[in-house]
Amino acid sequence: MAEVFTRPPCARLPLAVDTAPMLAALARIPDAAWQPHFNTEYFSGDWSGVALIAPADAQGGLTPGQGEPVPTALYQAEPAWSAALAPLDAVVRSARLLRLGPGACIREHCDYDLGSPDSDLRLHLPLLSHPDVEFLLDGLVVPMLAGECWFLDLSRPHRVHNPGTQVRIHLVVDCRPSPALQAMIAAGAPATPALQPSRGSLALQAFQQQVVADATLRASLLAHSERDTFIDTVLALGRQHQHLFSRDDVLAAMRQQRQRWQQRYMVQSA
Amino acid sequence: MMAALRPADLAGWLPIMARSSPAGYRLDWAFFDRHALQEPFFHNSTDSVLQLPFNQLFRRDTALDVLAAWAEQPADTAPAAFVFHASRCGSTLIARMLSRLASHTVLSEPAPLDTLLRAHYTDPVATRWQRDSLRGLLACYGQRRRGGERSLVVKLDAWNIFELPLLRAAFPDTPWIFLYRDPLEIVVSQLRQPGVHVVPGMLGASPLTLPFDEVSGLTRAEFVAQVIGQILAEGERQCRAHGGIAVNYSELPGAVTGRLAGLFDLHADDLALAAAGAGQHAKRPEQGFSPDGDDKRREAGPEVLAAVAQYAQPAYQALEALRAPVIPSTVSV
Repeated sequence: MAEVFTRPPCARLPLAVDTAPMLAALARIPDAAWQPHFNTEYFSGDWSGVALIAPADAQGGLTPGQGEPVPTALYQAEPAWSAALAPLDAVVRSARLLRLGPGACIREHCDYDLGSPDSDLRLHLPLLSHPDVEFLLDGLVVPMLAGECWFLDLSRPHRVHNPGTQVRIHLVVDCRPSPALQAMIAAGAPATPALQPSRGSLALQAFQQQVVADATLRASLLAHSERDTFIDTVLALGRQHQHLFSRDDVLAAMRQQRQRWQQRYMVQSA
Repeated sequence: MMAALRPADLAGWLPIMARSSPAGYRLDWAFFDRHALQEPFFHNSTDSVLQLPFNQLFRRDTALDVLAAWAEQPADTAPAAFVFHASRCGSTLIARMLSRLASHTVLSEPAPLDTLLRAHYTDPVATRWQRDSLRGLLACYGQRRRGGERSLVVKLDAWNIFELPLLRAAFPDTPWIFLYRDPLEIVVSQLRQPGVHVVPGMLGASPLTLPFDEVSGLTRAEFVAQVIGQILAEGERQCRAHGGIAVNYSELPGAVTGRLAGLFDLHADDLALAAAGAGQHAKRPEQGFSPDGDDKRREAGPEVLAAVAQYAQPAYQALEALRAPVIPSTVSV
């Protein structure tokens, strides 16, 4: 019997990606081709994209769709793109360049359309990035580097922050699950570098330790029974004590603690 | 390395969950402050304090060994009594009556206590630390958080009667009762609304969990009856071996303010308030308490009657023989 493929949370594929031809092609894309991302609820700053291959029914080329994949003129103009997709050995349903501008932030969300066993497999090929970018999956930083190709299960909670002054651009590819691609994901999973705690979560942890040990801080936080004003106070007091973390860091930590309590019976029998 | 937490650092905090991790057992703590633990169960009280946003973000997670320091110092309130029971026989009513008193803290089936009591079934080296951890845990729960407490009463999970010797080793002088009831009434109640221990496979490691081939042939009623029968038999055995007081549901609520008043550390001026607590249904406070044995007996069909007669009646009779003859008392409020 063939082994059943189960999606790992993420995996670095055993593929070496030559970014040089893609970076050259990228430089030739006119500024006007970049369109703002459709999902305006979930980000702040510049999050925009260029469609290279898009489902025929995708609005503006960046949204998901069920139609036939259609290569765009920008894709056809540069052999670098097809050369990059060939080793994936799967039907490509969409390929987009996604750009996150300096200071931009994508808030935590789940792409539920990627969550079923037959869903497309989403791959990230970082083209331009820098060490301060944090791509968090399940609250942990995925250490993606330019020149690598990663599978990410983005039906799990994820968010991205690009602090500093440089843009971050990934080639994001949705593939139909093929045996070859699934085999690459499975082969890459064991050697995938461990996910790391984010700077924000470490800062929040430091603040949490300070609060539980400090009766005055504790009292000012205990005074809040309303969730939003409580979180505002946490953020303000955190900043005041030089702990830099975001509202998403706080929300993620609260969700994690809630789950731990709700799942206590499972924890106990484990 | 962070300095070990002293009890003073954890004033107002209570363990809400104990769990094993690769590096040993750990405790999750929430800040209860002056919360009185008057909900039917400790996990209900926990749900209540977790409503506070502070407790959704600033819970503590410590190694189990922080309890060692609690065990070494005199407890604010030492356990006055332990309540063991056969389930569905009024233990929550007792908790309700006592928890009304500013002088009493009642712990109703706190999960960390059950986890520590049963740790050795899955981790044999646990016997090295269980006794001290149990002392530390109850010292911690016995913190004087509201100011007027003098007594801690601990009600255990029904299946913990098997771990009684372990608790006795930690608290050799604390009196305890074993509360039970006509098993037909317990079994009918468990068939209506099953508890964890009467659902095969739910309880986890316990002497109550029999090998699969011993129970796989049983009907549902037989399975439930044998579980209740085991608890009753163990209760009777432990009462004889360790001086427990056998108490029948039929004696409630009068016995709490009557023959058990001293055991529960009730003073004369506590009695009326405690008795008034019996006026409410223990698990559904909006309803009053009323004995429902007759309804339950009428509900039982021949199969249930036969199962109870075979698996649980003998142990019940043995407990009745053990119980000191008591004159049924009524509450005067």
